[in-house]
Amino acid sequence: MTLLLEVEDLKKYFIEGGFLSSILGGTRIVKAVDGVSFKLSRGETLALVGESGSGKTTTGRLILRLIEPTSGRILFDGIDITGMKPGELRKLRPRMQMIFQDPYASLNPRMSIGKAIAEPLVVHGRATWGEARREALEMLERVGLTPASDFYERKPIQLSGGQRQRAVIARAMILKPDLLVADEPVSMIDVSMRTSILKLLLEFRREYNMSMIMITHDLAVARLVADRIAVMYLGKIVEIGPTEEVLNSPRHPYTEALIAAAPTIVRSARKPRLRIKGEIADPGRIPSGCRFHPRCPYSDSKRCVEEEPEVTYYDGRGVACHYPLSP
Amino acid sequence: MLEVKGLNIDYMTLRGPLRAVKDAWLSVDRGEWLSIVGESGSGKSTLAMSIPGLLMPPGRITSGSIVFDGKELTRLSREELRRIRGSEIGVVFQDPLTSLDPLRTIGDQIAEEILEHDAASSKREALEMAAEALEAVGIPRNRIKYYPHQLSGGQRQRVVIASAIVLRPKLLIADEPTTALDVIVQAKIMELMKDLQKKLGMAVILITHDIALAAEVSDRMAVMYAAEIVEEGPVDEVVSRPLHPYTEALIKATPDLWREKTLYSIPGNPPDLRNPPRGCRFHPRCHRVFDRCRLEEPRRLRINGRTVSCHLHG
Repeated sequence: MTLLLEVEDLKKYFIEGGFLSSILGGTRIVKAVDGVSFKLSRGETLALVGESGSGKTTTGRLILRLIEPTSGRILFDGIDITGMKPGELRKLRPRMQMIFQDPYASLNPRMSIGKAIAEPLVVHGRATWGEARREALEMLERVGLTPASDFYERKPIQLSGGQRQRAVIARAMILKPDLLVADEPVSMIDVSMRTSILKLLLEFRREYNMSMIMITHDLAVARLVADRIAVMYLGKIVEIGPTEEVLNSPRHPYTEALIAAAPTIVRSARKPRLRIKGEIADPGRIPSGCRFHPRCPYSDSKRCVEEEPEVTYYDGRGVACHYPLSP
Repeated sequence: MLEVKGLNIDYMTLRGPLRAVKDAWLSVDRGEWLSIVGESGSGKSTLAMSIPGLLMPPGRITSGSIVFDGKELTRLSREELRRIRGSEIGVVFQDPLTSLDPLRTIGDQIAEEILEHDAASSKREALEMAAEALEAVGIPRNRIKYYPHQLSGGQRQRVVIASAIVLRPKLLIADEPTTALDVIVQAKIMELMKDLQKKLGMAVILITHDIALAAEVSDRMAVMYAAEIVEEGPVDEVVSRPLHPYTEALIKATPDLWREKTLYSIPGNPPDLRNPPRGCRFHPRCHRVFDRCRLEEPRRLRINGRTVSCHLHG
């Protein structure tokens, strides 16, 4: 498989507090993303999983250069896009698309659905409005918003949540991107329609040999779409590996806790017990050593308090823990 | 302890009345946990909130009865309902920030709840009770002087729960209490509620869109679709042998780490309640539909301590 994306030691620090606090010394550094590295092949889906404050959404935005990294490198199809100027970046934009959690906020309420889908083709000089309209109609059909000519004229308010997310996907897919970053695309969709949205994304992935980064808090959703899972905690990847392997035998205690916390209807499920302590720390006050140590149910070793574990790889799996769980 | 009989709730809208809850029947025993499961617009919150008299206008109970501990709640005045809320029925909402005042300490807020119900003779006594309630939900008593913003989302929800249980209500109604929280925090809050249910012998009504979450904590489960309770029964039976095709499909469509991977989803969209389908409301999306479903509304049937509204069963 060929590589599409390489992320190297990506960091994003925010400075919190305004001008006044900078004089009075009240500012603090929030390390939202604190050294994230991974590779993504063509046609591959990686799920970034974690709780709020884990840095998963910030990582997604950094990759598409929607926000500027503090340091680190992003290689897209071999091109270093980290320091790229807006003009050059614009040429690459059609190849990398993002969809967001809230389909209500992603569509212009005044623009018809069809026009919203056709627009990127015109904006990027790929087609005239006439051609774009034809392609948008095909795309509406493709995402199940039929009859297409009827949906073309509708406004976002006339669509249900699930239908809007289909329109948002159509708009992102009309450019046939190489990379899609999907940030919690189904968390606001009703359960009965959730998997139909995931299925649609998987179909486009296959059709375009598209790579996908799926940002989600829900391991069960990650399992349905991802080839690999990266579990994030306080700005770092703590575990990464093939989906089924990570879920069947987690090596990081935090991954195990996420699995233990996932609800199931299966009465006989052999779930690990939820032994994790407390809540995720404030990213402005990251604990010393292993950032998970205050919540870790296993370790009381000095090493975990003092020394930060780096991700070490073995057999295609990576884990950042001094004392990883045995399989 | 609680019996809801033939309850109908309408919302007056500009385009005419909309029936948000249609002919609902429920009962909850002392100390029992009932979860009401449904998707957005199913009427689950409207139904639950009507019990303690928290229905927001333009919502209105048009017929039916709610009997709680021998009292007919639909006939009580606003003042009488206010007295029952807090002391006999505790309520927890989705977003803890809507229930907490950002400008007052958490201790003062819980103490006020106690004093409003004349459950303590002095502020000092009320604060002592508040401290005990905070401890019961896992918040150290020295945080009694904290303001809501000094706490995390999960801790705030614990404070709301402390405030809801401080007067030892017989029933706790929780409307999506963990939807705004992370999964691990959610699991911990559920553990806490389960623990309190047992320790205080309190009944619980949990409103949730997550059938797996409901399956893990409840004794009984009611499933709602398009303003109707389509199925109700002991949770183990409902989950392992659903009688209604909607329940069956909802289980199948819910991603679950411990079941086989499937990309199944329920076809179509939930109906517009102003113009619900004829016959059974689920029939346009049902995988077991037959002629009768399109014409005739199913009646509520009792089968071995369970209820279901579906023509498949007679």
